[in-house]
Amino acid sequence: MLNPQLAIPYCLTSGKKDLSPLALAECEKAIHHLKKVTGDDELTALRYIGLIYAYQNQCDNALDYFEKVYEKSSLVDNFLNIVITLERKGEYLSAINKSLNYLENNLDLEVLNFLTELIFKYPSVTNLGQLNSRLEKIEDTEIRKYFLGRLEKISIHIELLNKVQIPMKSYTLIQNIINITLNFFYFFKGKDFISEEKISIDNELFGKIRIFNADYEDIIELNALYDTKVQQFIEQGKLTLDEYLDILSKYNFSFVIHTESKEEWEKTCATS
Amino acid sequence: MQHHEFYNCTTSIQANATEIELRNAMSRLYYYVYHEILSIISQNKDLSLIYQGLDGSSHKRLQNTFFTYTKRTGKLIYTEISRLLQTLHNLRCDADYELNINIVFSDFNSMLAQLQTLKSKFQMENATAFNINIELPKKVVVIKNTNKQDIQNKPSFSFVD
Repeated sequence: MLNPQLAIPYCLTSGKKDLSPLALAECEKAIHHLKKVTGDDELTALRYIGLIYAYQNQCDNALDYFEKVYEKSSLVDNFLNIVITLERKGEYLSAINKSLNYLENNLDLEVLNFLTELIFKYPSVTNLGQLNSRLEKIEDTEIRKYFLGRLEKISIHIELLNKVQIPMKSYTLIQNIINITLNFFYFFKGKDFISEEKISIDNELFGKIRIFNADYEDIIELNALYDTKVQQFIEQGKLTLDEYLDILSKYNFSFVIHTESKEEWEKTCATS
Repeated sequence: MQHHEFYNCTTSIQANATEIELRNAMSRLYYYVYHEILSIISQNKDLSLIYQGLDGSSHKRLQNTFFTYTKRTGKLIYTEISRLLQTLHNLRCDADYELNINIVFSDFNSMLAQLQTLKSKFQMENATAFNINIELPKKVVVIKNTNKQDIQNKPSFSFVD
């Protein structure tokens, strides 16, 4: 009987993203072997298959397997794999709703952390209210204070959007497109990012999306990826041209190169 | 004076440029784009009519000309162009007005990358637009002594569009 641990392809454990034909062939071979695993190790094998699909950005397949795992084992890690994959696919609403429902019965700090990040990225007064009600169940005052602090930042973010009269729905749609673009890019190039927004001199919202360890070609590629995604969203009816033009009259963003790594940048911010 | 001189004066920027040199270069880069776009608009009857009918600052009118043109033509590329004009304008405003932030070499390169994207989009419709070679500033690559041979001159190369 195959030990699932032995089937993990090297590319997943090497610490570097490798999507060469050889690596992908190894992944396929691994999946082929893992699908044959039964008995006590079956759950582990299913999880590994999900992770291998996620490694290849095959989100639909990954989700399929993560859901199978969660049906058999409701550990929080298995739940998180589902919502993280949903967000990566761009189904942020689904990720938010599932997380809110999960927290109704299971007050888990990792899920709370994930959800707070998500609602910051895709702000909504309703979701903020629901998140707040989940926080009331936290008994530890320090932890509750910490999360309330983060909720305060979400409120400030919403205020900023209201100040420049940006419709929340359109804003979250654009953020969805931007995040899908960035996740896709991060997936293939391993380059992390961080966003900051401010009100520009024209009284519009201007966002700078810093891509760590990026170069000139990365910015060109990101612009192309983003524009392609916008076109897809419009063709699929998820966003109308009028909505897009309206949001662009109030919100603009730029991908920018940041030559430090994210860790170096966080260190600089902490010391300054 | 020809407006491409605004671009030409930025090509001497090196990786060790001072912050003021970078800020000035980013500002000149934007104004190269500004005049190039005005030139493109003036050569197109539809774009001219739209531009002349718009209110607001000259920068906003440039951006909104292409937003309006998207609605007329249904072609998303004009919105993509407008978005890039907004981006370039905002980056230039950071260079000119935001004295409390650090402007670094990578900010200048980011702006060059946005310019390259804009140029590519225009050249899909008009091969003569943005008739410049966008070159990344030259970098010193390596200085190395080996056991067998000393490398006497610093090799350098530039990224060529």
